[in-house]
Amino acid sequence: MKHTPDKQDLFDYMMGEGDNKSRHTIFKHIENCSACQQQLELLNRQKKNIDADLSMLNPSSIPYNVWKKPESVRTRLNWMKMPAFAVSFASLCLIAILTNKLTLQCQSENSSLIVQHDKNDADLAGDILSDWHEKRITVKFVPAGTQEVQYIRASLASN
Amino acid sequence: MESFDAVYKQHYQDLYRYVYRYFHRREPCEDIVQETFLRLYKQHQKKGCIEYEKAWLYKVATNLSLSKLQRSKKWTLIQPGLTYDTPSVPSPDEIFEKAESSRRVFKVLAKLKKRDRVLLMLYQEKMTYKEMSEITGIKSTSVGKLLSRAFEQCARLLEEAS
Repeated sequence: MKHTPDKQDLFDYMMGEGDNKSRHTIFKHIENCSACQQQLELLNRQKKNIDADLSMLNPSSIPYNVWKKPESVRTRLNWMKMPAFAVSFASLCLIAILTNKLTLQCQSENSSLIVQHDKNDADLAGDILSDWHEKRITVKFVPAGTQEVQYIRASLASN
Repeated sequence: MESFDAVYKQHYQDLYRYVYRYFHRREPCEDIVQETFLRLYKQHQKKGCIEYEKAWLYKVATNLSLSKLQRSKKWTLIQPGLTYDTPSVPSPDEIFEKAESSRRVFKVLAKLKKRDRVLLMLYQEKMTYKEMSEITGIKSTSVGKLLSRAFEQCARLLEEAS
């Protein structure tokens, strides 16, 4: 009957675990068992690969006797600084909102639209072509009884 | 505190290397190792010497590392390789190659269960089953079985990744 190696026993043996007596028994058994020899070889190969791969995570140098302010103290200080930070952030937001509101109010009070034209019979239900960048709008219309397209310019001016 | 100095000198480097493998970055590692020794110092002041200091140190460092990892999970996956720690000046190719390999290993470890990862890290520190059991709280009779499973899974994932 073919012998099936006990993986766990071999693994423990490879790791150097167990008392001398049991280790000696396993050692004697392996000497005469090719299946166990193969299994142990496989485990050793696996171990070697894992050792090589895990050694990649080793630091290339280890600083010695480096003492910093403990992390717990640093965290406590951060919490102490938090209210000051929150207050300054809130005041900045408030200033930004107030400035925006005041600017909008000033704009609406100081500017108005003046339309200059003398054509009373004009049908003003025409197209309005606006050009806010130039602060000017143009009304396109057709006077009653004619086919001629005319324009009225209106400009934005301050009071 | 003569004994504290002795313990610090004896275990600092090993503990640093152990914690470094969790983060692959200098800063959290320094913080955790320092915090661990500070706790040991306080413990010394309160209760005197601890019976088995090595296991105590690794237990505290493991718990601190795991809770920090849980808090900043995203960073642990992105950072390795980007801040590769190099004191000497290797060629850019070497840096790139090593950073890539370590990133691959780091990703594989991140896929493992937390318990398996800790066992593999402790194995790297050449701990015995008894010491692993003391640090992790796993029964000493189960450590071998769990470690061999972690080994198998890690080997399979590393093979797939490469």
